[in-house]
Amino acid sequence: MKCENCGARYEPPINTCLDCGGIDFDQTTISDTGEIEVWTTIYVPPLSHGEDAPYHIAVIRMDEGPKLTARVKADSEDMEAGKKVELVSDEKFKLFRII
Amino acid sequence: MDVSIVGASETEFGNLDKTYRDLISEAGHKAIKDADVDKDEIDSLYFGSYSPERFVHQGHTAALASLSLGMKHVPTTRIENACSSGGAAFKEAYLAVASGEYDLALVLGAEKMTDVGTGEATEILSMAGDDEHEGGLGMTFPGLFALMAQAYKQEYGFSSSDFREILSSISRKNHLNGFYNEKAHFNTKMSVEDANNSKMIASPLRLADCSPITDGAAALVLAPSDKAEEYSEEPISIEGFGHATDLLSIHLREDLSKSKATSQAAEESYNMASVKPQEIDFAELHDCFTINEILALEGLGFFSPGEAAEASKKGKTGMSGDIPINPSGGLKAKGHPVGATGIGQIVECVKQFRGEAEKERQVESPNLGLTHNIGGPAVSCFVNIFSKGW
Repeated sequence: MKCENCGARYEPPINTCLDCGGIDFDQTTISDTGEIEVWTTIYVPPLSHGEDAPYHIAVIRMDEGPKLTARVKADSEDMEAGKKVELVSDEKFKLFRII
Repeated sequence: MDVSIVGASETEFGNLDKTYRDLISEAGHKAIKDADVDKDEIDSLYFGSYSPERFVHQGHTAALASLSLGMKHVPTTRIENACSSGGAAFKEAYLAVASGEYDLALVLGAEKMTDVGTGEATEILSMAGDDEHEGGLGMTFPGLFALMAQAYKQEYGFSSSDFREILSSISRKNHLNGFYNEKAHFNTKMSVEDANNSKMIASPLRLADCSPITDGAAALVLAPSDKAEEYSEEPISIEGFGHATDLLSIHLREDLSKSKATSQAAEESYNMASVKPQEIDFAELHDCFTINEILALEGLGFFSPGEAAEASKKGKTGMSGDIPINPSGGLKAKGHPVGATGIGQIVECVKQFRGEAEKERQVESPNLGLTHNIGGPAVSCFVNIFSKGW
């Protein structure tokens, strides 16, 4: 989504623009690619995700600028800040892979 | 109106064979006794607790707190601000007395966390983050602070092995202080080597970087400073407080290598107290994870950005260092019963000013102490400054 007033981009959506305070947004789509900013591998998961561990979670800056938090499917040795990633699934949660 | 602390107490912290209401009752009655007042003289009760609904299946815990103390009709409010619920309750009690509305206020924090298993506790704690955008991913609290650790490591270019040694040195120091604290959850020393080899929880954070799941309660009695000597020969003056909030969603934060809530709350607190960071004699700060001790040391102005890591490794925050940090053992070793933590930090300050800490962890004749309590992934922040009031 894009703030009608100042054009700031958000993905996932937000209620109030953090740049200008605007509350009206245009629904826009963004591309499926971005870059890992920081990441971690969760070895001790919460009860509800017990069977998934270990898994990687990263803050990803999308090509258009907004940042989001998502899962990344990759071998541990490939996880690195600056790596390009693309969205592969948006069902249970956003899942990316390294490209 | 200036406000002072005239009574303070806490239970032991740990995996305790005591119920939630036992903990509330013990800490509250002891603080009231310490202030040498009758419980019927208390004008208002402020109670901090994070998630008794999930930990012990009890809602409406304000009324449970007053019931547990036998305070039949005292106005009681429960305050929830995640792991800073205690710090938030203290602020409300302070403002209530400062306003002149109430004379004597009891502020109490409690959490009973060990009735649920580790997986469930991890899930309950993760709800203090942005559940819609992080909980569904399987994010955990160690995971959120692990992202901050990665950001800090990347920002200042530490190698993985150097960064590991730094984090482990903080764990070692806090365990050493906790070793001497008879009320701490852990009375065990931790070597850097053991910390380096402890179980990985959320990379790069290992078990030795994480505070434990703890039961405990802590309580304070506040009074107007001009009446403080009626209740205590050793009142503690509240010189400054600051409170700030950062963005709840981790992906919306500009720079995860800094704690902006800390620096904003600290600035407000220092301004109110008219003191500089260099004048503080010791601090109890929110080391829920070792990385947060580094971020707090920098946000509080004790070290410049990027310098707290090496300073910690060199021992500058130890009992004989430039500024003793977490003489109690901190959240890491004293323990982290989340609703009680912010109050327990202030109880520790009272002990330090009165010279009641065990000698190995007693700061020498302190005049100014600081507490730093965080809720969520470095989101809600309370910074208080205290002075010896006698």
